[in-house]
Order: sequence, then C-alpha cells, then structure tokens
Amino acid sequence: MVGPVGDELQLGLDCVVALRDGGRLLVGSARAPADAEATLWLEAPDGQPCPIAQIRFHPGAGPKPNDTAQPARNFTLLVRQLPVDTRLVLQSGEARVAIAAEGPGEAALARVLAAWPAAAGFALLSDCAADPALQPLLAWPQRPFGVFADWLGGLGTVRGRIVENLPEIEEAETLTSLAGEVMVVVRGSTPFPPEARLEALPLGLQPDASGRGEAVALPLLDWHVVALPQALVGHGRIDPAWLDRLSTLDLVLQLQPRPDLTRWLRCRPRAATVPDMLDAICRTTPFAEPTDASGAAALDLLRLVVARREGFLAPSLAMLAAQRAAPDAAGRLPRLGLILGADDPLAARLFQVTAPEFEGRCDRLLVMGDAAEAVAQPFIRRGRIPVAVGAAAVQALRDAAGRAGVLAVEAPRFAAFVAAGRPADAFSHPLGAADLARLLALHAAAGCEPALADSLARLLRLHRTRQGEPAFMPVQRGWSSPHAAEVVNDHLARLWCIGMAGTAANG
Amino acid sequence: MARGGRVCIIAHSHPEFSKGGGELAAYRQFETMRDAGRDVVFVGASEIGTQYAEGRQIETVMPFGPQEYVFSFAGMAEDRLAWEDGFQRGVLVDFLAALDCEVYHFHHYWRLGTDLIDALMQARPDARFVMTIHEMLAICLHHGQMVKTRSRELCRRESPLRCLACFPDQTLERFAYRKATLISVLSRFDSILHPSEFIRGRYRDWGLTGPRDPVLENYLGDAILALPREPADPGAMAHRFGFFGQPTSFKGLDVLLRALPMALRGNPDIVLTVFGAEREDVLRLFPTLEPMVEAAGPSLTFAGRYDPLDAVELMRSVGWVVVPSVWWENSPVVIQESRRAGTPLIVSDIGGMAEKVLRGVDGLHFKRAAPVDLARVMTEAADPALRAQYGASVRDVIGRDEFLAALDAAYAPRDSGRAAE
Repeated sequence: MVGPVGDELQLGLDCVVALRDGGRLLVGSARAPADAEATLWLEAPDGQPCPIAQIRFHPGAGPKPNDTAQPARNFTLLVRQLPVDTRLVLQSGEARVAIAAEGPGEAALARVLAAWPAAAGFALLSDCAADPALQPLLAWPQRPFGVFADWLGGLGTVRGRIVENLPEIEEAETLTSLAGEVMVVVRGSTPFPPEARLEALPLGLQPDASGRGEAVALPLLDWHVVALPQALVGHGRIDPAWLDRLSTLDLVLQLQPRPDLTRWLRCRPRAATVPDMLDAICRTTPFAEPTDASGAAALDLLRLVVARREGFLAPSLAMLAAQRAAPDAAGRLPRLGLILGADDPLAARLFQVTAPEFEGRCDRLLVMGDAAEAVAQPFIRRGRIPVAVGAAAVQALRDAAGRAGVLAVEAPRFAAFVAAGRPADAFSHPLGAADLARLLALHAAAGCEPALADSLARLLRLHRTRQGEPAFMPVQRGWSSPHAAEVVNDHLARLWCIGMAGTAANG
Repeated sequence: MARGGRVCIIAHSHPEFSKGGGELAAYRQFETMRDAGRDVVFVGASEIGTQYAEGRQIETVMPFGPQEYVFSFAGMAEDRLAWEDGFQRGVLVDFLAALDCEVYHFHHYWRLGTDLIDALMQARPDARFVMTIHEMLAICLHHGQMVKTRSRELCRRESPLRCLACFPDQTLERFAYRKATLISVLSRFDSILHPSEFIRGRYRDWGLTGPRDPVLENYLGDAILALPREPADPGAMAHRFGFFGQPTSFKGLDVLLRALPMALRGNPDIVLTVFGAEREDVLRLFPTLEPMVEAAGPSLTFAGRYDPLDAVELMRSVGWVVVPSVWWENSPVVIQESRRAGTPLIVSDIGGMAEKVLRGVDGLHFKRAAPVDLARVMTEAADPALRAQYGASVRDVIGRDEFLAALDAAYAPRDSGRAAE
C-alpha cells in the first residue's frame, strides 16, 4: 500500500505480516528530505504512539521508484501488538503523512524481499535469528525457508570451498566443530584491506515429526572477525545442542572485501575435527605457501582463537574432571563392554579365544574400529551377549552416559595384558557416568579425530598416565605449518589435561 | 596318569604325506604307545586331502587306518594358525571331542589352529591337554627361525619393535594380537613338552610360563632303538664326513661346501658325502658355490635323497656327521639319529645343536656360519685317535621306557603333577 505521496514525504506499506501472539511485521518504504529529521512511528486510534519493538532501515527505491530527488529507505518494523485502526506515520517537523497499518501478508513479503537489495534480506534474516517472534517467516508460506526461499535462491552458492563468479574471492571455507563453533575463512585473490568485513548467519533445517525440515535461523553466541592480508577469518559459536537437532546447517555469509562492495554467499560448512578447524586459520592462501607476513598474522590469530576457546571451554571441562575424582557408582550400574581400536581383522582371533573374559563381565558389548564387524563375529557366533558395532555402538555409548558403567578395553592394550598373562587387568578401570560425560565434552571441545573411539582412547590414556608421562598424544596430520601444529597441539594438550596434576601435557 | 585313559595325538601332518621331524616324532609316539598297549588315536593334518578339497568335496575328517584319521585343513587361514571356516573347525572339534579321550596331545599348533584348540578345550573341559613344541613359529613370524630377515643375523629375543624391523609392512598391533592369541591358548595347556632346553628357554623368555614344561626328547621309535650300536673303525672313518638333510638356506650346506676346500688343504684324504640332495639341487640353490664343488673333485659326493628309516644305517657309513645350520635348530632329528648310530658330530655352536651335542662327549663345535673354523675342526677331527675317543663317548638317545614314563607324568592331572615335580 502506498499512502499519500507528497513532494517531500512519501510513505508506502508493502505488507503487514501477522506473527505469533499478535505481533506484526510491517514492511514498506519511505522518503524524506535529506536535510530534515524524519520519524516513522505508529499512531494508535487514541492518538498515542504504539510501542515499536524494532525498526530497521535500508537503502531502497522508495514509494515512487523513479523519484530520486530525495533519499529513500526501505524499512521493517516489528510490533508486539497492533491495535485495530492503527496508522503508520512519517513525520518531519510539522509535515506528516499517515497511512493505515494494513497490507497483504507473507506472500507479498517474499516478493518484496526478492526485489529489495540483498542487504535487507540478510538483515531481516539476522533479525529472525535474534528474535524468536520472527522465526515463522522461515516457515511461511508452506516451503522451506519461508519468505526467504527466493531470496536465498538468488545467492551465490559455494560447493566445496571454491567460489565461482566472484573475481575478488577465491575460496570460502566454512567448518563446524562438535562444540558448536563456526569457522569461516575467506581467501581472496588479492589482499583484503583492514576494513574488510565478514558476517555469518547459521541457517538450519530441523526435521519435524512428519520428516519435513523446519527452517531455523540461529543466533551466534559470539563472533570475531579478523582481516589477515590474504584472508578474512571469522570464528563464532552456536549453541552446540542445535547440532544434534539439525539435519543440515548452512551459513549465509555477508562479506565486504572492500568498503564499496558487498557479497552474499550460501555455504554448507564441513564438520571438522578441532585440529582441522584450527589449522584452517593458517591456510591463508588457496594455492601457494603463505608469505611470512600472512603466516605470522595467522599464527597470532590462531593464538587468539585458542585463548578464546580455552576461555569458554575450560570451566566446564574442569568441572567434569573434578567429578571424575568423586566416588563413582559404575560398579552398581549395568555393565557395558566396549572394545576400542578394533582396526585389524587379525584381532578377531584373539577375541575368539578370549571371549569368555568379556562374557563374564559384560551384559552387552560394543565394538568400535575399522574391523569392528570382523572382531564382533566371535561374540556374535557364540551368542552369549548382545553385540553392537558401528553407528549403533556409538549411539549406545552416548546413551549409556549416566545409565551404565563401561568396561572400555583398547584392543591392542588388551592383547598386551593377555600376553602378560593378566587379562583381568584390562578391565580394572571401568568408566562411570562422570567419565562418559567428560568423554563427550572432551570429544566436542578437543576431539582429534571424527570417531568418538579416538577420544575414548585418549581419555583412557589420561586415566593410566603416571606422573611425568606424556598424557596427550600429539595429533599427526598434514599441518599447514609446523608452527600451527605446535600451537594447536599445545592447546589440545591443555584441554585434555585439565584437572590432571603433574602430568606432561605434551606427548 | 593316563595309562588307562584314551590319548589322542593330534599332529600338523602325517608322515605318510611329509617327512618332517615333527610329524615323524608324533607318529613314532603313536606307534610306541600303541605297541605298549595304550589306548591311543592318531589324527593328522593331510596336505593331500586339503589340496583335493580345493576342487572337490571331501570329508573334513577321514579314517586312515586302525585308530588313525587324517583331516583337511582347507578351511584354515593362509598362515594356518586359525580357521576361516568356522563350520569345518566345528566338524573337527566335534569329532575330536567325541573321541572321548582323557588326554589330547597336540604336536605343534600350526595347521591345527589356536581357535580349534580353544574350542576343544571348551568342549572337553574335563580332559587334559598336552602340547609338544616343534619350533618357534609362535615367537617368530620368520618361519619360527628367529633369524633376522634382512641380515640373516640371529635373533635372541622377540619384541614388537624387533619384529617390525624384520617385517616393516606389518603393524605393532598385529604382532601384539598374534602373540596374545598364541600365548593365551598355549598357557592353558596342562603340559608343554619341549624337545630341548634351548627351545624351552625361548618360550619361557617369550612369556609362556604357566604350564608344566619339561624337556622331553622326541623318541626315535622302537625300530630304530632296536638297531645294534656297533663301534666303527676309526682309522677308516675319521676322514669321512657326512651332511644329512635338505639343502635349504638355513641348513648351512653352503658353509660346509665353502669349508671343504680349506679342510682339504689341511688333509687331502678328507671326503664329504651330501645325503639328501643331488649336485644340481645344491647348485640351483647356491649357484656361486660351483667353483668350490668343482675344486673338491672326487672328495665331494652327492648321494641324493634317502629314506628317513635308513638314516641311522647311512650315518654309520661316515666318521662324522656335520650339522652346520646357520639358524638355531631346536632338536634336530639328525643329531638324534647320529647319536643313535654312534657317530660323533660336528655342529654349529648355537641353540639346540650346541645343547644336543655335548662338546667333548658327543662331538665338536665350530663357530656358526664360519667356514674357516669349520675347516679347522674338520681337519682336527680327521685324526683317527680323536675319532676313536668320540666314537666311544657319544651318547645314545632316550629309551622307550624313559619316554613313556615322561609322557605319563605330562598326562597326569595338573595338581598332582605339580606336586610330584
């Protein structure tokens, strides 16, 4: 709806979208003289102002698109309640225009967003993440991502990390960690100026009971961006609880490689281990080795990120480590056996002849490793205890937290105990509920491999490490630089060793 | 005591199909016990049945004579230490369990399988289990030789890292699984019989300390024990040397052939006869030795293959039996046969050879893999007086009654047996 249009004040209302609990989103455009202050407000039938929860302006075409004499603004305006017969008023000094706060619904909003500059869509999407009242916009009309579907469809999509059709950007690498972190590394074809900007907006699909995905925009708990000479690096977090609920997670990026240029990209982040994610910071150029300057700057940033991670991860890890020291009720809980590191089919021979050691101690057995199927076979053939492998075993272990004691045995170490004639010693340190909670936390905060089994093996190593022995086995991978390897391994070692006194963190 | 109870001897082969020392020892034990009136059954692995099973159906277990059976091991994994075909293993386990034996006496674990032994132990928890060790396959992946793969140096102790140096394509975990599997099963035996102190030491060092583990020499059999042991003429025999066995790279025939020209320079009367191989067999394996073989001329003779039953007689045709193996050997049957023949020996100074040939009594030692030292010893041994001295002192082998008594002790229930030790 376009209201009275004068030469100086123009006001138009494109749609009024009804939200939950009586809220309304008003979307329109306005024009006012550049040299005069103008106010946009809602006037209730009694003449009093109606409270506005939020209002945003964006550069726009204005109610009369061809009129360029005065600056125009598009706006979105959120109210919690909109009384009947409320009017939208644009006022500048004594001059004012007013129109009824009425208009078409969300279908019109989708058309408006597609026509507006992309920055407005990103801003509204950001508002959705920040304000749950706006989340229904992602579901209306009945399609994924609701009113944003067309807007999102118009964004550049990054497959893998290569960015096509944007000459100033070579790569956009996006990663997520189990701790809910989001890492974005945008690598340019030329150096970025210090004023380059990068924003990220997580957008997920949450399966509902019918199996369809319900879109949700997620707020970032924190977000830090640094412009390195050849990369823009952003690091933030979402609530990690979301990761278990979402079927997909995308990131919408708004980046300004230079002040006069803004680009929007839609990326599908890769689930990464912590070393992988942190090392990405130091991969500052897509092709060649980083220069000394960019390498040093990246290492400085890596140290900052590492310090920030320790800041938000260490307290909970310390609390969980302290619980470990408390008496554990594992002995009274159902006994869950777990064979870790079953990576070699030859191990099946050992378990063929030692199966009773497990059958006498466990009510159920989980087997994890590359050769888990083969290693499980002797137990399955004997049929004395139920056996789970693969994803079922991982889920069973997660489910066991707090409900079952776990007799975790690393296959190679079990072999060593058997060879020494002391197989029972392999079962002498059952894991309790506190250990499992700590395991899951450490896996999310400092997991070195995707497999939970690797973290469990590291936790068992912590438990058996004696004073002066290296408690943390450093991660070996194709690091971007030895310096990055050192910084990240030191960081991981500190996280893993929280709560341990007198052990050597570095392995 | 198992004097009245049935004993099942389970061997990795049957001498009808191969003539290795282990299967000969197992079968001679069977014959000896049977002839002594014991209730004994022999069950041996059969290469023939196994090869046949690759193309056609064949029973897993087949009768092979009165109280004798052979079985196909076609269902085993390539290294013959475990079964891939659990069904065939089950058939064999059921058969063995149904024999209702008081004692199951295994000769070797190769071609029998740790999993089969484990399953039989579970099927017959009331029975006693005895194992005669024939080599060090459990300890060493290199055919149980404990000789390093690259340098051919002797290996004195197993450890995962040492083994990895020999087999860099393996993993530390694989060595751990292999050892744990074998030691777990072997530790459950009531008795482990070692044919030499040397091999017992190696298994103890490896970690096998649970079962009773007496040293019990293999018995050569009643027929060989019945042969007369007559003194030879030292003047005629002192310069005659004999090599008996296959010309494999570990048996040291190359060392002997390199020593021969040097020994001939010390005593041109020396003659060497190689029993067990033709000239072509040897040169095929050691082509670089052809000049030495040519140079030896009539002093060197190749006698070709021989029947093991004739070994003792043939050993009487030489003055000295040379055992120049470059690996440890455990308890070579050649040494036993030579002592039975009354022929003194010249052996490498290591392992089972040094133990079984008591220096100054049964013969002479030379430095392993050292042709010069072997030539020195051969020249020295060609003296008729020395030959006469050793011909008189060389010891005979274990007798039938002593052997059976040792078996009875090994078969005794573990508690009473331990008390008796």
